[in-house]
Amino acid sequence: MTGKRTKEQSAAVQFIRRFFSRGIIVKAATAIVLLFIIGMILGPVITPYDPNAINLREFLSEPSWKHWLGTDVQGRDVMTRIMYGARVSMVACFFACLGSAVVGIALGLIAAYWQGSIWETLIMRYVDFQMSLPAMLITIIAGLFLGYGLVALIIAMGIGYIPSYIRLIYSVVIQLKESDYVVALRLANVKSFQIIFRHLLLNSIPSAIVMFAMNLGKAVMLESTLSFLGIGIQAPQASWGTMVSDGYEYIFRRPVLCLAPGICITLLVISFNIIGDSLRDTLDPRLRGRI
Amino acid sequence: MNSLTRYIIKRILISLLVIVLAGVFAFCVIRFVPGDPIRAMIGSDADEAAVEAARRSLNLDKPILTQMQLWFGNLLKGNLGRSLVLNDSINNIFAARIPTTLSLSIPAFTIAIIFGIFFGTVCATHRGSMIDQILTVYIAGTNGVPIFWLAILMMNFFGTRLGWLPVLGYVKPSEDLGQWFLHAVMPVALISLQPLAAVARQVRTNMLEVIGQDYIRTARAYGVSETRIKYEYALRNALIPVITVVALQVPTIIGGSMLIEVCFSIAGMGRLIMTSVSNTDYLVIQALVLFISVVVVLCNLLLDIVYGLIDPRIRLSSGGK
Repeated sequence: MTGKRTKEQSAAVQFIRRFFSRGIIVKAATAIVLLFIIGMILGPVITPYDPNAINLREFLSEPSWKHWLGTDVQGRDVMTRIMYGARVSMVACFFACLGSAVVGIALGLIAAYWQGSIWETLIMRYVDFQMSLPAMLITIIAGLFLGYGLVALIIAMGIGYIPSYIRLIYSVVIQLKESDYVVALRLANVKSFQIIFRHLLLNSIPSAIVMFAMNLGKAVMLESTLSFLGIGIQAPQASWGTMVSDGYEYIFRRPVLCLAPGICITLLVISFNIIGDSLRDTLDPRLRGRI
Repeated sequence: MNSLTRYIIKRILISLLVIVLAGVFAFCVIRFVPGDPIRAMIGSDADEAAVEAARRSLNLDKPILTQMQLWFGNLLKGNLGRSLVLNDSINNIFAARIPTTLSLSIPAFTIAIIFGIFFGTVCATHRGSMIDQILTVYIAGTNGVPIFWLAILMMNFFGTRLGWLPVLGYVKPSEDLGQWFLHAVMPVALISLQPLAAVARQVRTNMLEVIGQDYIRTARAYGVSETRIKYEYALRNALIPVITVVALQVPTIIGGSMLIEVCFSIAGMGRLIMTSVSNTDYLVIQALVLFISVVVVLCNLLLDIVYGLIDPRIRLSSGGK
């Protein structure tokens, strides 16, 4: 029991070591994501301001010790709004990706395991159909049905990412299904249910994790774009996308209003992409040792 | 029947199935959207009789199967219906906007493919060099920068500050080619940004993979010149999988032009999507969904066929069954 446990631990430690040994960029990306998560959780403790409190006496003030990034046109502290914006954005994106992962993995498993059945045709053609539309359009149409609010936004964005998981899991499981040990399990009359959950599902989780990290980056981008267009997170709630569109009018007087949220989006998306890439390379034995 | 015809027929059947699915989905939009879509379209102050008349004119009072039959019948005739909000036939609305969007997205697509292949090849052949590193950072950067934000910064910098380029609006190339070019530079550059990075990345990976293959080593051993190996042997084989990535860029280009047309206030298909959503113009939305998926599916079909023509391995593996 103890022996097995230390072995598992060392595998995890090994994985983490290998992940971080890939260079300074991975470390920096992880640090940036952690920084945003800390800012997001501790936001209310760090900053004394209310993100939505209007204070017209201090509108468009310059960055100072009191307001690190200055204030916007309604006198709201920009730093505070960025931290609260991270909250909404990360929560929305995390749950959208999680939900789409669960549904997508389930459908992918079904399509791949019952290959040749009507379910496979329906699921895979649905994937083709949805992949033929831009993710933004899918989300906007879903918004028509669901209305505009945080939960509706999460579901609408989640729907956009389902096909990516279906395609991935489908291709992974189809390969796994032909591997000797699964054939052996079938010959030993192990129930389909058990093969799917115990073996196929567990073995496709690593690839799904990589896809999850990649989609997190895309979701942050999508959420900010939708908010920028005014159909994502609604005012007065802070969101990086709305902060860019609000700050645009004052780009000459206070460029920081427009620059700061944009830089945050860029940093976060690039970090998620780098983490996703590194996870894939670490999990894929063929790519081990390359940059 | 040889494998190529079988492959093409199979691709066509699959595309048809996807188009039918898109038609069914578009059919559902107006029928299952919550609230009263008819009232939302003709205005909340319209009286009951007008709503009823509009409902009848859209055949919404008939049994659902008849409705579906009429819907597909009209589509086969090429009739997309009539917008109740803009009070114009949707065919006319589309016809006025499609050239605008095409005049931006076709150059963007071309630039993305040509420069993507060029950058990817340069990266792979100069692996690890300064130029490779710069381009790798560029690729990672374009995937992370929000396009709308970049659009704002570029409009501000090149348009307002330097005064080099016009900030908003659009001029038809048929009216004034020079003005069209000036108006199109920033939108085209922004739309092509992400597809270009995706193509470059794929070309780089494929080139590196191909260069490691045995037949390249054999060619080297035979004394074939390095340039010929790189461009004739490696690039040609590396480009085959790139077709898939190019096909995947079609929706990205459409999504990109949606956003860019809104940012630069260009009256194309992309802005039509956004205005129809804010006007709750469901009839235009359903026509748009159908139209976009048909365009993308046809592009994919074309590329699939090209793929099958170029690479015999593809048609044998997926069409031979």
